[in-house]
Amino acid sequence: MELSYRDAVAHGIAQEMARDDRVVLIGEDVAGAGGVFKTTVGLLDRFGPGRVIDTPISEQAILGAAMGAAMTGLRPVAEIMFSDFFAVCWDIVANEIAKTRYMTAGQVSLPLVVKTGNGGNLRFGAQHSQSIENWAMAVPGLKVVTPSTPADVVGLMAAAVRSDDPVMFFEHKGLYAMKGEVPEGEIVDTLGTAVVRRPGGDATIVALGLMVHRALEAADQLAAKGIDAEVIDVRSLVPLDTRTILDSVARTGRLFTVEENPRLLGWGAEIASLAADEAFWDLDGPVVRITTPHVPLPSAGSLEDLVIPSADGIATTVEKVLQS
Amino acid sequence: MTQARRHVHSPRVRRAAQRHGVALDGLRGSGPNGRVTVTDVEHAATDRPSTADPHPVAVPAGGPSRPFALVTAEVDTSGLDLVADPLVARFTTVLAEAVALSGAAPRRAVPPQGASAAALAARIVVVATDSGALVPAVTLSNAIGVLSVGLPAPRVVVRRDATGTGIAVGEAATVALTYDCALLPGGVLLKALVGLVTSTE
Repeated sequence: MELSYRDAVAHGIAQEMARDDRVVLIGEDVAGAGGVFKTTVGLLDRFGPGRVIDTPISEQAILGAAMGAAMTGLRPVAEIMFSDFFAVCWDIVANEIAKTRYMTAGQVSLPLVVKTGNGGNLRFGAQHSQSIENWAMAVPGLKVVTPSTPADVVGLMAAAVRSDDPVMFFEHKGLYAMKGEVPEGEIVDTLGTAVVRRPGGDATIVALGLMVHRALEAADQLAAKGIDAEVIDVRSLVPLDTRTILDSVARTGRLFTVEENPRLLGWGAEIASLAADEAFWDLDGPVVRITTPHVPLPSAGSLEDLVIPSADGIATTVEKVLQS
Repeated sequence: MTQARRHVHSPRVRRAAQRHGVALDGLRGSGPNGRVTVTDVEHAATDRPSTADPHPVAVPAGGPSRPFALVTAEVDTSGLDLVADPLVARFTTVLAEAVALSGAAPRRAVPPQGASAAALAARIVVVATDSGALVPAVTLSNAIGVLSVGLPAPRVVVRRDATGTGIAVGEAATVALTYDCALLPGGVLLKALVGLVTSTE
């Protein structure tokens, strides 16, 4: 069946809520309104107000409640409307949720999912457009997932709900409207697995979320010029599928990362470090990171388009580097 | 003051050159701005005369996952000081150079085996030359890296005597060591090889 990315979010949550009555959904406007991005439409009607719960406008309360629910046996899915708002509840996430299992010597695990709208391309400006997955991956104890297709939304959401550790689930706001085929029946994916979206032998392009689609478009442009680029959808930053990335680099000898997060300490820096450690003798040139520059995101459409990596920019960079 | 730009080869090219025993100095590059590519190295390796291994060592089938090397040495067991030859002691780091410098035709030869370039792993063969020196040579194998050891019984051979002008009769053995380059550094490999040779006494 064909689903939009936003409908796939609700589909995935519904699949897990139907399977396990310990799964609950809490967040601002997730119930009656069906989510500000309409990613939870229909869940209140299907599962009732006891399991689909609207909260006050307090991100700290949402995550505190989710943490407590998880500690007492539920498997909550909590929504932070915009990922930018993690900044006001980072203590709960980084100091409490991420560390409880470790600090209780495994006696208390926190099987919870924090889903959030992440990324730009919608002209929401500096405080509602950020890609903050690299913030989350810097905290030991958190798993970090970013699906790029409707099918992956369902499968990875199921895997996240079934994980006994907290999972940060970054939905890309710029992908909510995209549609894609989703297999019928129960879908359960595997955390920590990347997918080769397009095979190629001349260069490895590693991308995440919306950037996967731009990398694929860039690969088509490059193919017209005789450059056969492989595009890898990382999907999961923590755990990271290093094998798929390193195997690809071993074949192509060239590695590019395409990151929407600001350049400094973006997730691609970790990939570049990985390549330096484990793929140095496979490299036929420097690892090149294509990123949003280290600037707050502008709200003006023309400026936002200028700073977030584009397909044209990716293709130009790859071609230029390969010919240098 | 101006300084000539150092000619830089990528890590991938340098590794390919080491695997194939190709000297990069003087190699003409076909890449952008004259850069030497892996394909250039492979072509250079293919253009060289091949050698044939009379004692092939079977290796398990499977895809290559990391650098792999096979070392075989036909050694005169009555002259163990041969393994102290400086060419051998340094062979993991100066392999290509050693092959180029040896100039002597190996007594044993190993032909390259057909496989795609991506599937090829290095096969390093140490051969005993008529002069008595152990000289590294390189060919190719599409095998995965697995540690294995082969040690046939010593046999009687005729070789040149110590003066290099006469003929002497002694015992020799062929030893083979198949190893994973990532797990077994060159120094360890050399010790293992020496140990094998010593055990033939």
